[in-house]
Amino acid sequence: MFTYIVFILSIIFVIGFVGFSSKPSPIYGGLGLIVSGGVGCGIVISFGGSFLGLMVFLIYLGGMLVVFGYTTAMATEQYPEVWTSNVVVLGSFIVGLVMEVVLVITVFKDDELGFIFEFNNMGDWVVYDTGDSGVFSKEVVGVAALYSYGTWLVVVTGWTLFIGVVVIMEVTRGN
Amino acid sequence: LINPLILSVILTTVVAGTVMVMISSHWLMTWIGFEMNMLTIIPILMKHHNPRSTEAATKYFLTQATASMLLMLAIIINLLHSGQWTVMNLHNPLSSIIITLAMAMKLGLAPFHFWVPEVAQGIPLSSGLILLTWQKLAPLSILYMITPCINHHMILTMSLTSILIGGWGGLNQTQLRKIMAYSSIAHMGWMTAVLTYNPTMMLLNLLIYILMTLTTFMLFIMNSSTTTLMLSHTWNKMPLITLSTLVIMLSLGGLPPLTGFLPKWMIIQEITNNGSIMLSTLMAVTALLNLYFYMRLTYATSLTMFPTTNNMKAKWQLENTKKMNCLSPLIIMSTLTLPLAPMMML
Repeated sequence: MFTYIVFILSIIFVIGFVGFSSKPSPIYGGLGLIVSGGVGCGIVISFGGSFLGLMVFLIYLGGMLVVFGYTTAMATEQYPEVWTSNVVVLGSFIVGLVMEVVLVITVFKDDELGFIFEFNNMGDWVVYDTGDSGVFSKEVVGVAALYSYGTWLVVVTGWTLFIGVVVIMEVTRGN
Repeated sequence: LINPLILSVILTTVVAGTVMVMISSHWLMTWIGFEMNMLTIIPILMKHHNPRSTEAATKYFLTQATASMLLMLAIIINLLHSGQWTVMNLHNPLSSIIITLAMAMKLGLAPFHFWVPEVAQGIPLSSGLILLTWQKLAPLSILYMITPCINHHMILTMSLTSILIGGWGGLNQTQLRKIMAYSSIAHMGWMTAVLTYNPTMMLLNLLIYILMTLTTFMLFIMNSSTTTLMLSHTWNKMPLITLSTLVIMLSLGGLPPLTGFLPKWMIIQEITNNGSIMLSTLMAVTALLNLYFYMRLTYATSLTMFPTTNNMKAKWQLENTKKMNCLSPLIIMSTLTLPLAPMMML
């Protein structure tokens, strides 16, 4: 089972996404985000990127989602819409689930899935170490490259994050 | 309405987003440029905080975010099939189709044109100006960069449908911003039609379209007019503007001695030289639909004097309060530069 851990985690990832994109109330959407975020961390860690996975847990789930949860709790209604509230949300959730189940069954039956790219049954999803990464793992090298070769990217993303806050404050000003 | 310091930061980021799309060689940076552009134009669309502007900004945000998602999907597919992120090297036809669809959504080409009139209507005139001129630069520069890989059938279908819809949709409108929105849809159709034949003509059409639309919007802002009826009171307020509106509208319609004829002439020449006679005939004929509603605006503004109430008749004495420094050179550039056409051949 642990050979296919990445596949199982990505199924749970997709189910989490389906859970919040069927649009229940944002509190339950946040629950879907927590599930997807945690499982996504697991996928990144399975590929050897332990630093980045833990960063996602810490900053995304432990910082941004917590703030999101608090603000949603302040702005919520008395009976928030859960997945079984009305036919629309339940219907879209079930449609997403059914499509995921069909995909999983297709992957298990045929050994290949050539939809947009060649997905040969578990060949790409089982993680094995070829041992040619050298002394440093690839994700640490990537983080170092971000701050050396990728200076422009850091500048742009930092500016965009700042502008995001400015825009949101400007939009919600209200007068 | 917006604190000037914040407004300068926001406008800088709008410009920076478009410039990043134009100068990047890495697909991720172009996507970031699109997101920066979209994020910071939202408060400009919502300058006046009323529910109509909020609705227009929300519609704009939803369509542009979907188009950015499609762009990211195409970038990832391209990465999967070629292993590199270089712009101008699209290795996969599926990726090229998805990027064309994403840019069509951003530009407002048919069948993704439904947001343009509604967003243009809900925002102030100056925001509409930025929306219909500056926001077209970034998607068209992406289309210009991937020109060799574009699927000809798809883009010609979309552009011909846009010209038809831009013409027919504008016929029943009295609101000026919706008329300019349908005019924008039709002009985008003309630009993308010639893109696969000769991309330089697309740039020529873009430049002249931006000049003419800029001038038109500035004339509307000077009058503070948003409907045909309000535009028809111009004879009373600033009679010189009625003459300018006349020549600008005829130039937008593409009539010969004026500048607006130049891109249409060049485009029809390029398309005909490549053998698509039916396409160029259809495009020329459906441009008449556009000309009809420009003529109707001209008729209401310059060619007739619409009746007004008596206390409206003395407004010509009052001086104009809006500073329009660039309006005179813009009017001249939008109407009288056709004789410069031989310079293009150098």
